[in-house]
Amino acid sequence: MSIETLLPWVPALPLIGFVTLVFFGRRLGGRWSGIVATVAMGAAFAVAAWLALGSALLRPGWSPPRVMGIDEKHVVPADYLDHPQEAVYHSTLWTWMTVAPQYDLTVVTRPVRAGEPVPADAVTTIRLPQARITHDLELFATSHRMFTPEQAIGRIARLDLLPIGPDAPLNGDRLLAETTLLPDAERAIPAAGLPERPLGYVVDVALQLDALSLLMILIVTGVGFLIHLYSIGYMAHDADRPRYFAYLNLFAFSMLTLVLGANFLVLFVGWELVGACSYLLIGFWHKDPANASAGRKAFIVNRIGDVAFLIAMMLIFTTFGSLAFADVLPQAADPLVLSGGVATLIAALLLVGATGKSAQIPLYVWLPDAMAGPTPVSALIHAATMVTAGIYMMARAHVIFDHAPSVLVAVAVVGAVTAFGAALIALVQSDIKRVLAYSTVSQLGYMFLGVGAGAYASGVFHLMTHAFFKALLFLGAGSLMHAMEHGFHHGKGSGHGAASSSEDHDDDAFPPGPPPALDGIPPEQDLRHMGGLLRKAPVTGWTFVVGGLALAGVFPLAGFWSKDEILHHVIGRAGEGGAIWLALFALGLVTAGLTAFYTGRLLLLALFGAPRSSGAAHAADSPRTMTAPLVVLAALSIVGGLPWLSGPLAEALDPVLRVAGHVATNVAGSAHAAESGPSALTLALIASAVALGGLALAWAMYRPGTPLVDPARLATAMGGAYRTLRGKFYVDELYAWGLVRPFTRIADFLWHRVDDGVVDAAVNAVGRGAVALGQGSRRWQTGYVRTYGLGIVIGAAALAAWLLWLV
Amino acid sequence: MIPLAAVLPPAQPLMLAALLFTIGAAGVLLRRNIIIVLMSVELMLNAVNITLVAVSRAMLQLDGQVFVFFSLTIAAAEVAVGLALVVALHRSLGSSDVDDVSSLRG
Amino acid sequence: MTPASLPELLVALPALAVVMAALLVVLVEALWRRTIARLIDGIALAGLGGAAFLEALSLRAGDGGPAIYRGAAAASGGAAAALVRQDALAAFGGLLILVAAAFTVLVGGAYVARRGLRQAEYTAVVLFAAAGMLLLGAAADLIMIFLGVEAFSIALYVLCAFRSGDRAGYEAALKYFVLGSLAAGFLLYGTALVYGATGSTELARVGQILSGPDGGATAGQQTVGLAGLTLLLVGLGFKMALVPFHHWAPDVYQGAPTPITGFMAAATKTAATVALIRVLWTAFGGLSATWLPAVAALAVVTMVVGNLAAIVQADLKRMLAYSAIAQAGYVLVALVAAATGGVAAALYYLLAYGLAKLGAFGVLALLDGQGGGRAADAAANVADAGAAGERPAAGPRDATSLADLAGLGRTQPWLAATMTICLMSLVGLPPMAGFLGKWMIFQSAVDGGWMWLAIVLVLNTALSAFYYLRPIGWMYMVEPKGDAVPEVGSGASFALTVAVLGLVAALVSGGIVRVARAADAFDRRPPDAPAGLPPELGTATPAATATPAGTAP
Repeated sequence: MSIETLLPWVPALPLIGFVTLVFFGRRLGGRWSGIVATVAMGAAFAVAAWLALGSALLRPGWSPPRVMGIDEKHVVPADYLDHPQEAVYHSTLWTWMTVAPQYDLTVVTRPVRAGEPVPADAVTTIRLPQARITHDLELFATSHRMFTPEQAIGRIARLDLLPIGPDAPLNGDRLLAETTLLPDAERAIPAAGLPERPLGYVVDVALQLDALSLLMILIVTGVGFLIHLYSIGYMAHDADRPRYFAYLNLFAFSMLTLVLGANFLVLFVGWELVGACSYLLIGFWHKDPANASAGRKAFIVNRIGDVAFLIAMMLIFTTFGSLAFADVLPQAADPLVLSGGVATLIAALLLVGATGKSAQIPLYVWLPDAMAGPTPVSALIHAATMVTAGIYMMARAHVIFDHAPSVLVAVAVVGAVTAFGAALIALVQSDIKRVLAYSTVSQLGYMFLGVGAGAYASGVFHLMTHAFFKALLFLGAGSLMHAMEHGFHHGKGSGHGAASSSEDHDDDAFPPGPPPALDGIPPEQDLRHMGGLLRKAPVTGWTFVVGGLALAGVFPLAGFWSKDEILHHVIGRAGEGGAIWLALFALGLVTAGLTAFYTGRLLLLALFGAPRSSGAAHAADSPRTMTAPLVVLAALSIVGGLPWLSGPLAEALDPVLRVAGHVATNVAGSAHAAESGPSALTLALIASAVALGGLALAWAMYRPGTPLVDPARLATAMGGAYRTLRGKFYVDELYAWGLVRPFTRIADFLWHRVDDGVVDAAVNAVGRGAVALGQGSRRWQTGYVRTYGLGIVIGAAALAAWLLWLV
Repeated sequence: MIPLAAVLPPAQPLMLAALLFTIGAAGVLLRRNIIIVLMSVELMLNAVNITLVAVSRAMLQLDGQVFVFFSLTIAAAEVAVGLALVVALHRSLGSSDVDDVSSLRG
Repeated sequence: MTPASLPELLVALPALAVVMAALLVVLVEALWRRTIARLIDGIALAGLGGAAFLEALSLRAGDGGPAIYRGAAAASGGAAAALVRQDALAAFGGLLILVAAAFTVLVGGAYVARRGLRQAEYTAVVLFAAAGMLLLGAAADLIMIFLGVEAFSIALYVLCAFRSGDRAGYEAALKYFVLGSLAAGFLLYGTALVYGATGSTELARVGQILSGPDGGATAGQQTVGLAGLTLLLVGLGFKMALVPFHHWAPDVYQGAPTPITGFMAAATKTAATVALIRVLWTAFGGLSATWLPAVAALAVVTMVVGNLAAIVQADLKRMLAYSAIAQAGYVLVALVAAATGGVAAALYYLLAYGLAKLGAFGVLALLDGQGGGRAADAAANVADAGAAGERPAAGPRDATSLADLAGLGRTQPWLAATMTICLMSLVGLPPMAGFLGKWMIFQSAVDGGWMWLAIVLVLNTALSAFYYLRPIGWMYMVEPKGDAVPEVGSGASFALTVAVLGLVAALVSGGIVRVARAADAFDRRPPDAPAGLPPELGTATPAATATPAGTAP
C-alpha cells in the first residue's frame, strides 16, 4: 500500500470535524467544539506532512521517463504533460456523473497501403468522448497537410493515453471508425462512419496529488491548524463557538477539495464552497441584515467571476472533451489541439474567474469589506488561503495560459496595477484590518504579476510566503485588538483602584473605557488609538514586527525572497525587449517601496511610541493559545524563503509548472531571465534598498516622539509650533508635499472615487437595474384575472404569429 | 382503411366553432360576473366539441365524436367545482365580481 | 372499443393504485367517523408506494413499453393507437410525482389537522391529483393529455381553496380555476386542430403523418398542425408556468396552502413537462426546425422575467413562485436541446428542482403558525396588507414572509439547514444536485449548438443568486423574534430528511443520471440534425440510448 492512499483523509478529516460539530456542537459546548475542530485540522496536517515526507512526488531529483516525441518540431518535454500518471497520484473516490456520450473508435496506428488489408496489429481501439471525436476526425480530415504518416501515428498514439471509463468493457468493441491512409501516403482521413454506441463519459470525484497540490494542502492544513488553535483563545467569549468552528472546518474541507480536485468540476465545487463559507463567516457577527451586505457583496461579486469560470469550463469541455486535468492539460500542451483563439478565450475567462476569487481589479471591492468577519477568518480565508485560489487555478491551468500570451500580459497588468493601487490605498487607512486587507489585495497583485510573467512557480512561492506572514499579521492584529479591548475593559473596570499598576504613569491621561469610534472604526482596531503596544504585549508585538518586516521584503525574511523572485522574472521579460514589462517592473518596484512604507507606518503607529488611549495603556498580552501560533508563524516567516533558496521546492514544482518547450517563446521569462536582466545580486540589492528606503521614510514620519499628525494635515499645521524639530519637519514636509500628499490624494481618489464611486457603483447599478426591471415586470401582475387572461391570449396570438406567418 | 392524408372537413362548422371559441374567450376576458365567466368557458369547450364532431364526421371516424363525451364529462366536473368555488367566495367576499378578487398581486 | 385485456390494464395500475388508496381513505373516514391520522397516512403511503414500485419496474421498459390501445388496429392505419404508454419516461416522471405526493400527504397532514380541517378529504384529493398527473405523464394520445390535465387540475382547484373561510385561498383557487379553464379550452382546441390536420390524436401517429416517410403531409396539414401546436403549447405552457402564460402562478402559489404550493411546484411541473416533451418531440419532432426558435425564445423570456420579478418580492412564497417560473425556463432550454441529451438533463433537473422546492415549501409549511399576529410582516407585501386584517381566524397564518425566517438558524437548526440546502440547490451551487442538473442542461444546449441559450442560462443563474441569498441571510444573521418553536411532526421531519437525502444522493450518483438517460428513450421523431454534429450523432435512436438502469455502480 503506497502512502498516497492516505490522501482522501486530508479533506475527510475536516469534514468529519464539521459533521461532528453540526450534530453534537451544541452538546459539546464552545470549548470542546474548538478542540474537536482543531484536532481535526491538526490530524489533517499530520497526514499532509506525512505525505510530504513519504511521497516520491516531492523528492528532489525526480526525473520523469521520457517516452514520446511526435517529431522534433513538436516535441513536448517528456514530463508531467506526457505522463501525468507518473508525476501525479490519482485517487478516484466515485463516479460523479456522466457528462456526454463516449465512443469507441478504431484507428490504424501505422502506415498501411491503400487497398491492402489492414493487419490486426496495426489496429487499435480507443475510447473518446463525443466532443473529441468530431474534433479529432475533423482534424484528420482537414489538416492532412500537417501530418506525415509518422506524425499521424504519433497523434493517434497520444490519443490512446486518454483514460477510459471505469466500467467500460475493453474487449469485443465494434470497429466503429477506421482511419486509413490514402495512396500517396500523405493524407490521413477517417474512412468509415462514426461510432454508433455512446458509452457515457464520466466525471469522477477524484483527488490528485502532485507537488503543487501537496504544497497547497500543506499551507492550508498547516496555517489552518494554527488559526484554529488561535481561534480557541480569540473566540473564547463568543456564545456561538460551535457554529463558528463548524464553518471553519467546512471551509478547510472546501479549500482542500479545491486544491486536491483532479478535474475542473471538483475544483469548481471547492471554489463555490469556499465562497459560501466565506459568505457565512463574513456575516458571522452580523445580526442585522443591513450589515450582512458585506457578505452579500462578496458573494455577488464572486458570482460574476464564477459565471466566467463556468463558461470557460464549458469551452474546455467542448475543446478537449474532458474536464480532468490529466486529459486536458497534456492535450492543451499540443498546439494542434488548442488553437490560439480558443486558448485566448478560455484563458481570458479563467482570468476573470480568478480576479473575482483573488480580489483583483475590477472585482476586488469585496475583500476590504470582508474584514467585517472575525479576525482569524480574515487571516485564514481572506489572506492565506481562499483568495489565493485564483492564483492556484491559473498555475494549475497554466498550460492553457501558455498558449495565450496576450492574456498573460493582461494577467500581469491587472496584477501590477492592483498591487500598486491597493498599496496606495493602504497608505492612508487608520483601521489596522483595512491596512492589512488592502495589503492583501496588493500582494495578490504581486502573485498575478508573477503568473503573468510566466513565472508560475514564483507566483506560487509568493503565495506560500504570503500565507505565512499575512496570516501572522492578521492574527497579530487580532491579538493586538484583543489586547486593546482588555485595556479598555481594564480602564473602565478598575479606574483608579488598586489594580492601576505602578509603571503606568500615564494612567490618568485617558478617560476610562473606549473612546468614541472615529470614522466608524471600532476603537480597538484604530491605529490612532494604539501605540506602545510592543511593551504591553511583547510576544504579539515582536512577532508582529517579524511579520511586518517579512511583508516589507526585508532581507532575509520570507517575503524578500519571493518578491525578489517575481521581480526578477518580470525584469527578465523586459530584457527581451518589452517596454510594457519594463513599466510593470517599475510599478512592482515602486509598490515594494510603498509596501515597506505602509508596513513601517503600521508597525510604528501600533507598536511604538506612547500609548494613545486607555486601551493601549492598559493592554495585556493574549493567552498562550493565541500567541503560540504567532510564534510558529513568525518562525515560518523568517525561514519560509529557505526551501526556495536551497532548491528542492523549485525542483519539485518544476514538472508541474514547467512551460512546455514549444511555447516557451510566449513565456520565456523564466528561461532567459538570468541572461538578459540585471544579475540576481544587483536586483536583490535594489529591492532591499527600496524596502529599506520605504521603512526609513516611515520611520522619519511616524517614529516615536513625533506627535500623531496626519501627513496631509501636517503640511498645513506647519508653523512655529515645532521649531526645535524644524530640520526634521522640513524633511517630513518635503515628503509630505513632494511624495506623500500627491500619493495621499491619489489614494484618496482611488478609494473614494474609484472604489466607492465607480466600481462599487457599477456593482450596485447592476443590482439596481435588475430591481428596477423586476419592479417593472411587477406592474403586469395586477391581481386581476382578466389581465392575466389577456396575457395568455396575447401570448397565444404572438406564438401563432411566429409559427404560422413568420416562418 | 381510410386514407389519412386527410381532406379537411367543410369550412362552415369549423368557422362556427372558431367564432364560438372567440366569443367564449372574449367573454372570459371581458365579463366580470363569475357566473358569466363560467358560462363563457363552457362556450369555449363546446366550440371545440363542434370542431371535433365536424372533423370526425369528415373523416368518417367515430373517434372525435367519442372524445366529445370525454370533454363534456370533464366540463361538467369542472363546472361543479367552479360553482362550489363561486358559492364559497360569495359567502366570504359578498361579491361575485372577478375584479373584486384581486388582493394577491405584484 | 374492444375491452381492454388484463395486461393492458396493468399499464394503468400505478394510477389505479393511487385512486384505490384515495377511495379507501374516504371510506375509512366515512366508516370510522373520526380521523385516524396514522391510518390515513398509512393507506396513502401504501398506495403511493405500490404505484412507485410498479413505476420502478417500468423504468427499464426501454423504447416501447406496454400500452393501452384503443379501437381496432385497422382504424389507424395498421397499428393500434396507444392511449397510455408506460415507457421509461413515464416511469421517471411518475416516480417524481409519487414522491411529491407522498411528501405532500405527510407534510400537509399536520398542516391540515392544525386548522381543524378534514385530513382524509385532503389526502384523498391529493391522491386524485397525483393519479391525474400519472396519467398525464404516461399519455400517448392528445385526448389523454387533456384528460390528465383536467383530472389533476380539478383536484388542485379544490386543494387551493381547502382552508375554509380563507380569502387568499379562495382567491387563488378562483384565479387558477378561471385561467386554468381558459387554458384547458386552448388545449382542447389544439387537440381538435391536430386531429383535423392528421386524422389522429395519437402522438406517434401524428408524428408519422406530419413528417414521417409514409405520411407525406401537405403544406396545409402542416399549417393546421402548427396552429394546433401553438394552442397545445399554450395549454401545457400554462401548467408549466411559462411566460407569458405564467400570471396565475405567483398569485396561486402565494394564496394556496403551503404544502399544496410545493405539490404544484414539483409535481404539476413534472407532469406538464413530460407531456410537453412528448408533444414537441414525438408528435412535432419533424417540424422542429420551425418551432425550435420560438420555444427557445419562450425559454429566454421565461427565465428572465421569472428571475427579475423574483428579485423584488418580499413574500417568500411569491418569491419561490417566480423562481419556479424561472426554473421552468431552464427546463425548456433542456427541451430545446432534446436532441443532444436534453431530455435526460430535463428529467434530472426536474428531480433536483422538485426535491428542492418540496423541501423549501415543506419548511415553510412546518413553520406554519409562526407568522401569526405579525401584522407588520404582512404589511411587507403591500397588496396583502388589507387582507391580513380581515382574515377570519381559520387557524394559524401561513409563514410566508422573510421575517418569518428570522433567526431560524438558531431556533430550528434542522429546518434552517434543510432550507439552506434546498435554496443552494435552486441557485445551482455545487455540489448540490441543482448544479449538476444545470450543468447537464448547459452541456446539452452547447452540444446541440445552442451556445447563446446556454450563456443566457448561466447569466440567469448568476442573477438568481440575488434573491436566493436573502432567506439564508435572514435565517442565520438575524436574531429570532419570538420564542415560539413550532412542533415538527415525525412524518413531516421524515419527509424533509428524505428530500435532503435525495438532494445529497443525487450528487453521489451517476446512477440517477443513467436512469434519466434511459428515460430519454421514448418514442420520438428524428429531429433535424443539430448544428456541428454529424447526423449519426444527432439521432439518438431509442435502442441506442437505452442503458439498463441496473448497471449503475
